[in-house]
Amino acid sequence: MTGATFAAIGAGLAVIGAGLGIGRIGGSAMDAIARQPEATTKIQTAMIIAAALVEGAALFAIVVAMITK
Amino acid sequence: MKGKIVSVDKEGKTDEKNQPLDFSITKAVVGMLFAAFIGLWLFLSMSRSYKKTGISHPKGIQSFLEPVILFVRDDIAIPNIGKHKYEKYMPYLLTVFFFILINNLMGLVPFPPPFGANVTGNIAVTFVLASFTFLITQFSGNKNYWRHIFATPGVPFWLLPIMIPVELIGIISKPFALMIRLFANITAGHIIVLSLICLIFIFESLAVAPVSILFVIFMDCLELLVAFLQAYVFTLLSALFISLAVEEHH
Repeated sequence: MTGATFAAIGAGLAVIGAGLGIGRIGGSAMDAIARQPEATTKIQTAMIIAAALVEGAALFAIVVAMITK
Repeated sequence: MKGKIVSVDKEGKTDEKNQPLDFSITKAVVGMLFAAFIGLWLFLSMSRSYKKTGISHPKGIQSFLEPVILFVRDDIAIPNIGKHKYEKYMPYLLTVFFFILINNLMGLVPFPPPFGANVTGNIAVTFVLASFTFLITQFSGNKNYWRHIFATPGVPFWLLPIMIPVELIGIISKPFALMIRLFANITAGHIIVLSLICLIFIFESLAVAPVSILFVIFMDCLELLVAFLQAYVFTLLSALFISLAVEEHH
C-alpha cells in the first residue's frame, strides 16, 4: 500500500468523526427546538457555530492527508 | 528555468545563488485587488448615498449592506467584546468579514478573467488574515489577559510549569485553527466541484454531463452556504479572541 492509500484512508476516518460529531450536534439541536420552539433562532445559531468548529477539526486531518499525499 | 525571472551577468550566465526575489503579480494577487476594488466601490458608494440622504431612510445599496453591518455589530461584536470596547475593533471585524465573503464568492465564479482567482483557498492569504487576528489580540491584551496566561488563577503553583507552555501553545494554536479552517473549507469545496466536472473527462462520454452538472450545481449551492458561514465563523472567532484579550476582571 502506497502513501497515497494511507492518506485516503486517513481522510475517510476523519470524515467519519466529523459525521458523528455533527450528527450529534444536530440531534441535540432538534431535541432542544422540540422542547422550546421559541428559542429556535438562538439554538440554530449555536448549532451552526458548533458544526463549523467540529468541521474545522475534521478538516485538519484532510489538510494533513493532502500534505502527506 | 522556464517562466522564472532570472538575473544574468554580462556573458548571459545565470548565477545560481544570487537570484532576485520574484514579486511579480500572480493571479491570486489580481483576484485580491479586484475584490478589494469591489469592496471599496460598494462601501464608498454606500457612504456617499448616506451623506446625501442622511441616516434616516436607506435606499439602494444601503438597504442591502446595512443589515449585514448591523448584524456584525449586534450579533458578533457587542455580545462578545462588550458595549464599551467594541468600537475600536469594528473596522477590523467588518473588513475581515467582507474581505473573506467577497473572496469566497469570487472563488466560485470561473469566468471571466478577474473572477477565476482562488484567493481564500490559498494558505498564504489565510495565514496573513489569521496573523492579523493574532497581532490584534496580542497588542490589545490587558493585564488580566497576561495574568490568565502566566499565572492562571486557581491553579496551584506547582502546576504552573505545565500550564504556562500549554497556555502559550494555546495562543498560537487558536489563530492557526482559524487559518486551517478557512483554507480547508474553501479548498475542499473547489476540489469537489473540480472532481465532479472532471468526471466528464474521465468517462470520456457526454452522457455523464447532465448528472455531473446537476451534482455540481448542488455542490455550488452548498459552497455558497459555506462561503457565508466561513466568513461568519472567522469573524466570530476573531471577536471571541479579542474579547478574551480585553476582558475585565469579574
